[in-house]
Amino acid sequence: MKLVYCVLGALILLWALVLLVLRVFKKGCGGNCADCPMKNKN
Amino acid sequence: MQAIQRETLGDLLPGQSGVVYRLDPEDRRMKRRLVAMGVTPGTRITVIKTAPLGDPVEVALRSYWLSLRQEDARHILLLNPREEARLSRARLKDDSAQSERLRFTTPTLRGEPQTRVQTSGEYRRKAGKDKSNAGDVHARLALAGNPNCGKTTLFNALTGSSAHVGNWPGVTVEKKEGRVRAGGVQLNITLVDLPGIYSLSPHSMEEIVARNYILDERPDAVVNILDATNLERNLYLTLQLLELGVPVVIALNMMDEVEQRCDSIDCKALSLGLGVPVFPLSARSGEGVAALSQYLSSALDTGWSAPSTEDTFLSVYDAPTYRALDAVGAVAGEQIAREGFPQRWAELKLLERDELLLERLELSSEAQAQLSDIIQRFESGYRLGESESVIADARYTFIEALYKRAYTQSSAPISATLSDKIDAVLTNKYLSLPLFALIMGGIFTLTFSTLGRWLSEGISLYFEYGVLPLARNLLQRLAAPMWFQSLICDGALGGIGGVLAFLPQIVLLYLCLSLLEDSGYMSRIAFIMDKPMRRFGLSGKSFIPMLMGFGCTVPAAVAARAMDNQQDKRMTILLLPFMSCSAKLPVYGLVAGALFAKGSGLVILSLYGLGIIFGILSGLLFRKTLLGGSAAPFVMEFAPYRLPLARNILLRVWERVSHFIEKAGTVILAMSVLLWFLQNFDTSLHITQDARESILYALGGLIAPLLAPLGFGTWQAAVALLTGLIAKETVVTSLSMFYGGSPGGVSTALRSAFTPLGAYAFLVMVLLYTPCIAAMATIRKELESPGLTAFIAVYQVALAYFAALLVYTLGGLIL
Repeated sequence: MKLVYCVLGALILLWALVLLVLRVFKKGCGGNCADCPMKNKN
Repeated sequence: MQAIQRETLGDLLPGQSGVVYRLDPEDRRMKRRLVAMGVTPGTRITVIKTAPLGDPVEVALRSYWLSLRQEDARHILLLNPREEARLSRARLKDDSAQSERLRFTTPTLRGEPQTRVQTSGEYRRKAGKDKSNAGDVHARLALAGNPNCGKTTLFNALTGSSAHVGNWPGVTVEKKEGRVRAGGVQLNITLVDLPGIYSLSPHSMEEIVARNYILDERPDAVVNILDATNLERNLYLTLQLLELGVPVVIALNMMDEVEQRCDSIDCKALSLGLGVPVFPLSARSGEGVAALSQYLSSALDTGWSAPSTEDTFLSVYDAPTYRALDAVGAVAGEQIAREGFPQRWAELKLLERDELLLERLELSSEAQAQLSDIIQRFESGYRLGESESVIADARYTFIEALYKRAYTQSSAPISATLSDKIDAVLTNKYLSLPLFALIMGGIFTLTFSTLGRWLSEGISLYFEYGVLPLARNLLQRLAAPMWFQSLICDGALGGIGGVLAFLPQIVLLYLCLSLLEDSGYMSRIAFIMDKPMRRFGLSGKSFIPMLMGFGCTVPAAVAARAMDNQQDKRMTILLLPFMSCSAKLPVYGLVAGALFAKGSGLVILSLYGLGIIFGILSGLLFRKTLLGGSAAPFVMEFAPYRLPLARNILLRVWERVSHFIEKAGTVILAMSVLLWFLQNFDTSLHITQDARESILYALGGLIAPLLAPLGFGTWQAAVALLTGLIAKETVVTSLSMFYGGSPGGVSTALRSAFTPLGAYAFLVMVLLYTPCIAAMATIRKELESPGLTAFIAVYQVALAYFAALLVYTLGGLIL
């Protein structure tokens, strides 16, 4: 059980890190859809 | 011979009117803008009033209202009374001649869509894109119209709420797309909402975006929405669309208002005159929208039809223009065909000296010289000056004749409308400024100290006593270890809760800003504030993005595109970070609420005021150093006051608020998790209970000494400020996490960590230091200058530091 929580905790941390790194390097989207070129793709 | 001394529009007093002789502004762009707005020779203009501070003036022309500065009004020369009388006699004769030229061949009437054979050199849809995978026909339509003609309302009415917002490629002008619905069924028609524009000339980014979309993406048809109460000026864009040869469907909006005035529009005459189907409707009430969507649905099967461009040109332009167009075609026809532009349209644009088209065609120097010669010869045949004015005049002459034929004005005496009565009070010389202060004060009170605060406190309590105990309980049942419980409850949920508590205040702020925008009051604010704004090199129009800046810097920086020149746009953007955005509000709420209790509302208000003061001072500084030069022109339409539509307001508020919620669920959540990790692990990556051994303490400790002179030299404050660079709300997340675990909650811990003066200096720092990454990215994109962006980032930090230092030092001396 302890191992499961350790893996879960590590995954949460990894997700957080990836998201923040992407935000810093991907020209600051920040959930601001009005500024998101990705949403134009059909 | 002595030149005739002419009166100018600037010489007229309120109530007086005159007929335009010619436009003589020094700024060519100003002239183009005025022409596009319908200020052409022969137009009657009446001065309605001057702004409360003496400038600008409001004038009426072509059944609408326009405001412009006295300085620019002085460059509009008027006919003298004798010339006026001569003109009106000549017009009587001309009218019948023009009516003869009003066409047409076989127009497509409502419900009778025709497929038309496209000829070479004319507008053609982009090949190979009209079949979807299933083999169904799929169409892409563009929605084009003037600003304030009800475009958003019609877009929402046609598409339901299926719209999604994005950007036009390469530029930060908002792009909306949605699927058209008819009778509750979603059609295979994508509607693309083009930016609100007055013409298709390449004067502003919006106009370029719209024109390039039609030329490069080649939609199957354009739904051109017209404001029926302001038909003449709206038809100017229609005519330009027809010149492009694109299939056009006209949505004649605001017919209910025309009926209220007891006026009428002969839609059949309009349809015959333009050669395109016309649908009278009211996007607000939804009346007539079904007929339009049914037509679009049937046209999907039968095809989209366009009137012949040749017919349009024959109807609008005279023989000398035609000869000039042929001459241009002889010089540049090959290049036009090579680029695939509609032949006649491109010839006309070259005759207008369209810089963008000239660039794209890459004409040889010899061809350019020939072209220049043709244009000069063409201009010498008219008294209107530049070819662009001559062509605009021809368009308006055609429009005037068509308007007279289609529009019947009620013979009943014109009484002041409700909009006029409201305007008389809101822009009154003595009442306007106090009323403006009262409205803004009301918004701030509602948002920050009454309803908004109560709702925020409610959400805070719900998180503290509802969500967190529930989550802890659940995790205990699942036998989660203590550190995992802490990660979820103190880290993730604590961080999000701290920020979400301020959701009601943000909703209220956006709600109020949207109400101001949709009611028509925003343009009056620009009118009232133009003169004071000009003192530091800005136009009244800058006031609108500034006001939006109180919501979020990102859309505000995008809105600065509406500025008429680059310098004005840059100045507006540089000053936006001084308008305290709504993301900073949670920080003010938390710190001021803890340290100043009942006086927190006043503290928050003072911060907003301080931001404005620093903005003004910086504006003066930038004007004297970075961005000197004359003030930008101010030409703005006054839309009548309208009751905002709840659906539009709610959709807009939802658009913005959903970004905030999305941010809380992504970046703020991620930041909370990361902060929790950095706070609970030491540098050897072992869990620690002592915050002084944590990684965060080590990081914050590096910056904290620099902040000591400002009264908040703690590692917690230093880290909170650093995280605020990702998103301002995360300052609250950080503080909630650092101080949340202490007995008595965050407020008690903050009271022991900060002195009131130190807390105020901290808030000044938060107010003024570099905006978040999203805002900086948009600022960089909009400024189109990495150097200026770097400058503003450094300037904001330096200013914030010195302002906080000043507050703390001076405050220490006084208190």
